[in-house]
Amino acid sequence: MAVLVDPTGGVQEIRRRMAPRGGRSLRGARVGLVDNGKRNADVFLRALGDLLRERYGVREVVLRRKPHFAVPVPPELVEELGTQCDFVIPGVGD
Amino acid sequence: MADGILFEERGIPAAAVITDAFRRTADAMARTQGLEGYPYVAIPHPISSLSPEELRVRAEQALPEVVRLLQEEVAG
Repeated sequence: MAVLVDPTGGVQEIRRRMAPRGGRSLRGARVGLVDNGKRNADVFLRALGDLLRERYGVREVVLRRKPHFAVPVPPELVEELGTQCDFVIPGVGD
Repeated sequence: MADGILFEERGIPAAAVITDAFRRTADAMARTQGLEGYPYVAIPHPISSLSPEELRVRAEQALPEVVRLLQEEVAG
């Protein structure tokens, strides 16, 4: 049976919020770095991670590369870093 | 940008870093993702041609803003 779909559908507006910051310290924190796969993104992020450890007492940085720069971070990586990390830094290119 | 917003929504503060050639794209993406005005750190474009030493300098320059965005409460 044919199903008719209204192509004019309308755009559903999404509203999102930022995570609350209040009071979370970088000292002792775990920070996730998400490499978007563009050239030198990993080198830049590692340098940033080193600085966060040296100067802000970050305990650990976790570097992960997403499968392709043009697609969002896959849900399993959001879940992994979201569970393990206190902060996340996605970046960067070209 | 979209990635940062995904983590924000999960309750994890994020500081997205882009190169400044992508400002317009980043602003548009934030709007599309339902978080207009989402702040990010823009470093000079490009980085793909830089040496590790030059990238360390870029990281040093970006550091204060990255820290600010991770820790400072932002309206929105």
